[in-house]
Amino acid sequence: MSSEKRKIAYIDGKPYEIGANHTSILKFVKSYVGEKKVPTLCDDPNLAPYGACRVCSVEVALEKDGPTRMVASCHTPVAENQHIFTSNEAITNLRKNIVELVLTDHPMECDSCEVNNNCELQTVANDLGISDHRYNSPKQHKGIPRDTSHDYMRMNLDNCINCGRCVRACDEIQGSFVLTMSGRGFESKITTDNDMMFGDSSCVSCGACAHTCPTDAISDVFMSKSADVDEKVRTTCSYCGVGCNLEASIKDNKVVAIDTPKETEVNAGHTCIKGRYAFSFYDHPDRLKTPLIKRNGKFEEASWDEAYDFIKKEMNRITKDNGPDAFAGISSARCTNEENYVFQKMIRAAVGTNSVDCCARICHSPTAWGMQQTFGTGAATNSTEDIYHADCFIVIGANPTNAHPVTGAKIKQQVMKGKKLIVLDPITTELAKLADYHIKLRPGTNVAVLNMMLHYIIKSKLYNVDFVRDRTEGFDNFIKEIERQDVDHLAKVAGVDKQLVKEAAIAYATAKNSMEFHGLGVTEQEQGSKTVMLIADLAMITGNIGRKGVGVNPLRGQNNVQGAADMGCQPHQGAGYYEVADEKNQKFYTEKYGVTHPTKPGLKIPEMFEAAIDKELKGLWIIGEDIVQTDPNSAHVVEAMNSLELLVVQEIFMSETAKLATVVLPGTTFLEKDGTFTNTERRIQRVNRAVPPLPGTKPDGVIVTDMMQKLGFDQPTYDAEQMLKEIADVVPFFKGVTRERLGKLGLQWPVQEDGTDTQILHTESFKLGRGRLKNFDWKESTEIETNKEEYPLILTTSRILQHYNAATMTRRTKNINIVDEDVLLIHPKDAAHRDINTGDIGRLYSGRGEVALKVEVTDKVKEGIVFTTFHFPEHMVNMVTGHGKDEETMCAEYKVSSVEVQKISNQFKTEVKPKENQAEVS
Amino acid sequence: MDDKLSSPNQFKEQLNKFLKTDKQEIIKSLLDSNLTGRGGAGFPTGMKWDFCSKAKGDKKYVICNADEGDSGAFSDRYLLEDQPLKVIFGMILCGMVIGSDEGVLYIRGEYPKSIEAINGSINELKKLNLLGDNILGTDFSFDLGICIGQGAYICGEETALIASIEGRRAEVDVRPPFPVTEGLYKKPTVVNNVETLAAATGILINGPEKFAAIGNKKSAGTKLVCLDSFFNNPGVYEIDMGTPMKKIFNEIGGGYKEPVKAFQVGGPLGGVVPLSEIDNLNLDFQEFTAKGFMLGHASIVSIPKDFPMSEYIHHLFEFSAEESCGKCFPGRLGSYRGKEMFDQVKNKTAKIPLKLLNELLVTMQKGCLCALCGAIPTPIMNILKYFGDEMKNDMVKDN
Repeated sequence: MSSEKRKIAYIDGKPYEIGANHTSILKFVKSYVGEKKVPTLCDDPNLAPYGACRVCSVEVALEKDGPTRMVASCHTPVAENQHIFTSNEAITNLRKNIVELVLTDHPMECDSCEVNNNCELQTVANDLGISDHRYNSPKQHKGIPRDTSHDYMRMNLDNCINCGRCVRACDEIQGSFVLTMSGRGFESKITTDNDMMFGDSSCVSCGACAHTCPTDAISDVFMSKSADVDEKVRTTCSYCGVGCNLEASIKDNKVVAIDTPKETEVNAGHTCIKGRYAFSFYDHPDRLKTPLIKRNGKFEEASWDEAYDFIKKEMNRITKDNGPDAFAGISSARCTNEENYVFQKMIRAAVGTNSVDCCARICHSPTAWGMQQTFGTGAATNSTEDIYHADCFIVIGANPTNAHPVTGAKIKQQVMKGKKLIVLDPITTELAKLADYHIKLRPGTNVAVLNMMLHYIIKSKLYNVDFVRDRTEGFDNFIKEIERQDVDHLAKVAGVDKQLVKEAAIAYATAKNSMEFHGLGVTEQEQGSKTVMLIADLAMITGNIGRKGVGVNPLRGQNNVQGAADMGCQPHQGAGYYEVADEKNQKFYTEKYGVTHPTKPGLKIPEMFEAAIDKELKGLWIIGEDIVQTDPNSAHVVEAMNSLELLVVQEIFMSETAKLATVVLPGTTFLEKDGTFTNTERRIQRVNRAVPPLPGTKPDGVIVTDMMQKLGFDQPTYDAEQMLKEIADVVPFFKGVTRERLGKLGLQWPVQEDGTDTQILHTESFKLGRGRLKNFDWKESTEIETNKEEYPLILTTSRILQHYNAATMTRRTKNINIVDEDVLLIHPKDAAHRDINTGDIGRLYSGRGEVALKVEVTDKVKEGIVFTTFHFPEHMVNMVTGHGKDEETMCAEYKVSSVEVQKISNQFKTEVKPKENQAEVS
Repeated sequence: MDDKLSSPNQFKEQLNKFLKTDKQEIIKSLLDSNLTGRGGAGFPTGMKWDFCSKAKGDKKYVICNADEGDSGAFSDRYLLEDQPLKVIFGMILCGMVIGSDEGVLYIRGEYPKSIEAINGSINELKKLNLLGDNILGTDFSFDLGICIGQGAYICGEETALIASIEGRRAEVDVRPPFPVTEGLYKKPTVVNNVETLAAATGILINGPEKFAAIGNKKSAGTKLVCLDSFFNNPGVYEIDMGTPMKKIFNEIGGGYKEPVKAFQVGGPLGGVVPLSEIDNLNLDFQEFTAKGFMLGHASIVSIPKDFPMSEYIHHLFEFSAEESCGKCFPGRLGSYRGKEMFDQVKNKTAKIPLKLLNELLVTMQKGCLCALCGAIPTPIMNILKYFGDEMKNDMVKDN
């Protein structure tokens, strides 16, 4: 119990206790007597107090019966023994008179307004009983042309009440500083950048302005604030691992708009361009609406039964002739936990092989593995909310403002408030620009730089003696190995400034709470798993683990990649991470699944490709993963796919992989299904069906279950809630999870039987008991060793804000109007050697293949490095990427490919090469 | 004020002395003197320095508010141009006391000679190592910069002034946090008016007793008063607090050149005092406030006898409509609607809706975020009270 004295203040004569969250009178009053008691217009709980509208004014006396003073409650602190009066004649008159003034400059055309019945001004005016004003012919800001220049945003300043919420949301939440107030007094008005059109501005389309705008002055093309909808369905975003809560507006069984609900834990009422606006792919004409069977090289439409029977026949033939290990499955990290669970169950229990993998293989498998080796649990140690409690951030190989925009924005907010930021990245990302220490290392040298940081921390005796003693093992050897590191040599190979690395190391070690985030820039390298383990070392020797505001936190790429691995879509571990090679576990699974569980660990995705080419793997079932476009060395992947006897692809669009399939089964998007996703902070959140599946399609879990039944497996008809029950029975850290308990905000695993969840891992001890400190020396990537002479540049690939991975979804939205091609970034010096200018078309090539890309010359990239994205099948950037793999997990080395660039033509004159390997749909 | 600080040599001598003085002693001197802020708000200066000295911060700032925009006020200009060393000395001592190494003088662009004078003094003091790094060989470093205002009255408000220095839009910020804990670039900052800093210099050099002995505890010491050209002896005068206003106007000012009926005292936000009330007032902050006026910065603007008071109200509304930052609703909309009301009176297209006007004035007074639009009702209410009869034909009472 706290020994602090309880502090009391009075609301309209009644005493209430002042809590820690009561940072203003408004918050105090709202928490006890409801939202409606004090009206507001310029206040948004997600923004700092602003004090503009003054309708939240209340009267305050410092003691009982003392003299009162009128104050704006939103920015006046609540103090002990204060007497707060929320309503009396003077207060009501003040509020009425202010709102009346607002109405003098408002069109008052509510009936035809987009936000009719969902307008804060309308509500406040109605509650105060005002519908008109008494002023004689006041001048109005009327007839300002609507700004419709933006692909998503809409501005209608006639209805603006100058509350500044949009400006503050743009500044404080997104940190983009696009919107601003210009002019003074009555002439002040909202503008974008320097009076540019909205569409020409530097807006990143996060929609925070529209979300907070109390009227329809800023809205969007979907009219997301319209009350004219049938219902609103809360669900979870299917783009990245942040796991934003969304609210889909439904009209006539169609999703007409998406916004974020006000009450959210993960996204604090914010989303990004993808989550909020890039949803129209879901009913795009390109959606697959019928099963397809390829006969004589052409797809023919088929009924579901025909397709199932065809697959059953082929599967039985393959497994009968070659055994179950001739079949494999690749699950989808975009599908639900329930679907991933049932898919791995089909592969393991109905087919009988452990060869089931998912895209975690090519993203965070080194994280999961590396953290299992050091801590015992391969998942983020802390919660997104901890960002607010950290004093120093280290972001390694991640570009969260693009790839995890809401988390990126949160980090940015804190850094702008003065928290320290260290960035390790060869690219000057948005966060790197804000960083106190941007260590611009060259790809393939993470281990070198981390060893340098560890070295400086040890040398400066800044390690946490108590933590090291009480919670870790292996320190004596660790310290010896670290002291031995030749920092001069490491600095040289990484191309970094020693002093900068030293200062960054000291900043990380000396901050009260240092929080680590990493992305695929860590994992997708030959020493990926080793890098993860060194990151764990960094956290452990400085004691930055096991409490709020610290930890090792992978930014998971796909919305449910955490879940896909949790559910057992890994060839060596089943649902709940039990090793399949262990007899005890085989027994456990055999008991749960009712059939004998396979014993041999299965094939990892790259091994599947090799096995297919070697004719050992004959059949493959892929759900929603476009491996042809996204896995490295596309030509190799295509060869593997073409070597198969049966390729089943469950997809929503005719992807590059689906084109190579024997059978294509039309699945559904997240908007058409129930289930759960697990986000990057282990939070299991509900996915709720917003609309029925498009005619002809089926939710992916239904397809898999149908197939299991066809194969004669005793699997009950698919139902997400029942499936979650089965998962809770098998996966230990899902023990207390039920659909009902997940509620609106979800639960973070491990979830105890009584429903208690876990925000922070390793608070008392590690799953392994003590954390294991491990050393690794830096080693040059084989890719570079082998190819550097012929291909002296290093290619590193990533995503941009507007598109998502293979962009199957985002290319089918208006995001394509904003960005429609992959662009190659090259350093000015490298460009000069090759006579390349911005806008030229360059040939990017390696020993594997080549692509033609438009070039941008920029010092955003380090000298010797080129960068591009891999979103567009027109380019197929992965034709160029290589065979390198993480030594431990076989995660593909996307971040390090030896390449060369050559000028093809001057600006914009290029022939589009006809695409190969494309099947046609009949 | 005395003349013990008009040459760099005197400056050096005094600074040498104070560099060795205990900081607490300096704060105590200021507290003992009962000096309150001369910009108009009247906060005890010693307390402000004390708060800021206790505030935690790796960097602190001293700001001199020299954005003297009140109509009829030119006392700061006098100090900046004729007594720049006193102002700068006050800033240096403030820096020393609170633990700051950087000060900014925010001088209005309409005062080019003030900027020149201050700039000249800064350069001279720097050459003599009386400003800059390790002043006179001590550990104390203090540098000064000038920021030139661009003509917005609102920048005289401390939070808008800070925003302006930072390059942000000059809007009023909510308080708390107050600048003493979170000011310029979110660092603890003392913002003092020119006259306050000069007065602090005088107090510290001469001891607080002399200052405290004048006037009373809440209105202590002397105050610069600006008389406009309607007086026979216009100019800026240093006058003891507590001096009867009639003495100031009739004896010091020498009476009026032409008939006047009222005075606006303390700038556009100060009260409009009818001639008849002058006999009942002394130079005293509290007395003015008690009678519904405001002494403020103590600038006097005379209103000629034949000047229509409804036009004066129009002028006041026009001023606040023009100068409002646009942030708070009652300020942005209220001052503009008030201006429109009197536009219509001027054009004879409508009469004054007295009930609505009164409601508007109360709304602005109680509701506004800062004193610009929140205090403009003061002179207007004074006029309605004392000169209502003059406008009665222009009024309708019911709406």
